[in-house]
Amino acid sequence: MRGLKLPLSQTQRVRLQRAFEKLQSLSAKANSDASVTVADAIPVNYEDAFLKGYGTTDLNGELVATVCGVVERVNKLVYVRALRARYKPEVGDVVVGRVVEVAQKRWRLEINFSQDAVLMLSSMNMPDGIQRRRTALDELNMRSIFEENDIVCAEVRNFQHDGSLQLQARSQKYGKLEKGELLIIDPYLVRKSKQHFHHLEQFGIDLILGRNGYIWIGEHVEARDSMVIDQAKSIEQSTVVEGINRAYTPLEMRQNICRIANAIRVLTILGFNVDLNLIMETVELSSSLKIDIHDMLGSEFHVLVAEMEAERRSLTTKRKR
Amino acid sequence: MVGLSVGEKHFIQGGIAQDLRSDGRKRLTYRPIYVETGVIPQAHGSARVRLGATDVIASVKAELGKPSALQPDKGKIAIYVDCSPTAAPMFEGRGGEELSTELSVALQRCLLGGKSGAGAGIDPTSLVVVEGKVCWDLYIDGLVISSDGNLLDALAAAIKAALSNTGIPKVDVAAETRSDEQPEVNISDEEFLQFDTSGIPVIVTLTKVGRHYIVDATSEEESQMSSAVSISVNRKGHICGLTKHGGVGLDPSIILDMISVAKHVSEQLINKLDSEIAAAEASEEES
Repeated sequence: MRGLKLPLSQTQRVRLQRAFEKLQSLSAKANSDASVTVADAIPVNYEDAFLKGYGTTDLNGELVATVCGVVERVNKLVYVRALRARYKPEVGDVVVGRVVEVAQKRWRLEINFSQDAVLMLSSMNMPDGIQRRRTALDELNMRSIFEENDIVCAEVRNFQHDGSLQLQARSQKYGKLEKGELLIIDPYLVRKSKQHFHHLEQFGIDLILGRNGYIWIGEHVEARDSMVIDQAKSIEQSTVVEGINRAYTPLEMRQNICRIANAIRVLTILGFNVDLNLIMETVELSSSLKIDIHDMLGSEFHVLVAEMEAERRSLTTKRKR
Repeated sequence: MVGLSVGEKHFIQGGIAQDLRSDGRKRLTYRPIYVETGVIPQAHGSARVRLGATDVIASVKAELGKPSALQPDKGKIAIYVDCSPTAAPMFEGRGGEELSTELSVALQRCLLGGKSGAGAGIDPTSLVVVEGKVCWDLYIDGLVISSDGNLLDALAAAIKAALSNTGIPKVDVAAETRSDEQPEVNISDEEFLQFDTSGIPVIVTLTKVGRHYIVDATSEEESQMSSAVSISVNRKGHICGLTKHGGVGLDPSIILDMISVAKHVSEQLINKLDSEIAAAEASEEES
């Protein structure tokens, strides 16, 4: 979603401008010299010793930014953190990825990082739930667990010494994701929070906000308890899943999935952080105003969401004072 | 194109079957169309059309040339499409050539009419300057910048918008010339002739997924298609061209049904496109 290419009428443009100005005036870090664009001079005390970090360069004795972003200062290091960059993983992040390769004892996943992440077979729970060593037979049956192009939810385990990423999917809430849709947004819009898995009870929908910008919205799947081994049930489940005439998602659930997906699309076009509260408020706004699901992508709704967010933030800042 | 998992494919097919696609559209709803005209100042006419994430540019250049001996009273029109590597990594080098030729041929069939020039969207007789000696050659180029499905519809819309934006310079012919001599022509810099683009058809592509057809498929939905039919319809409701894509065979009754659906959809599309083009021209004049 690049750029605000919406056909706005004159009044809508004015309203949107006003909402954005209100939000800017309310922003907590109101230091306008923190954000820079290319070739802006970075305000630095030249008498102190400082280290030039990433995104800066020395031009005619002045420190100038080479990327558009936010100036960060850590002790003596001054660098510019670019916003529209690739995902920067941290250990413990929840990510959603797509399998691109099934290799020896591992899967390679694409997660919008500069390299493909690796999910080792040993970092994955076996389908029967027993903790055991992975045998050669397990290796040959890797495809029955994840195939190419499957969507997988996992957690960042660590970085290898060569810079590549290792993932793990040990808990029951991680694993293959089916029956839903995947949305790809910019990674900087998903902030680290306590909860990345959201089960929306009133809709029966699972919402997973991957920190790499991949967001999964799908039907709710019960997390199976790995300690309870129910052989017959697991075999029955796997054959039902593989059946070609699986029932389609019920229409009402599909409408909710589409509404949530469109709400996320609107928020990314407007550049707001995507978190659960904001998504739910946008969805409630659209259903309370009885806006058709496809009309949520129209310019009027974008302006309404911007105004709603400006209202909400001004109320929360007023409450704080 | 990134692959899709089995679960995602099933979800898309289910959506089409239930008349609720992944962005909330119905089966016969188009994505919002944005038109900008005059994007290439050096060309005689140009337009950029955005259909969701699909982005295409069409440009029209006119040069003076000699009409062919078989048709001395008609100008020449050539349409060519290029898929830029920025649209998809597979278009790099010669990868996009097959798709480019397929799109060029489909557009030529729909817009240029038969060999004798009958039934063309743009009347080639309006391009002639001096019969048998001097005529305008129109070169219409399409460029695909970003591909998210439904390239043919977007290109046809862009060509229609570019032709509405085209201004052919007025030509003054020196009066006294002998019949076997090449006449002198004076190309005016100020006065321009506009084309009458009401006869130019639009293209409606119907993609068949399962048992239903959808209009304006995204690239994910196109990956699920069994076959697709592109039908070119003009304002009067006449069919100007028909192209079938995809390997799966279709029953003739299905094709007839698709034609009637396309006629129905094309009415709204033509009206929407004309209003968007008018708005784009108006905003271009303002700026």
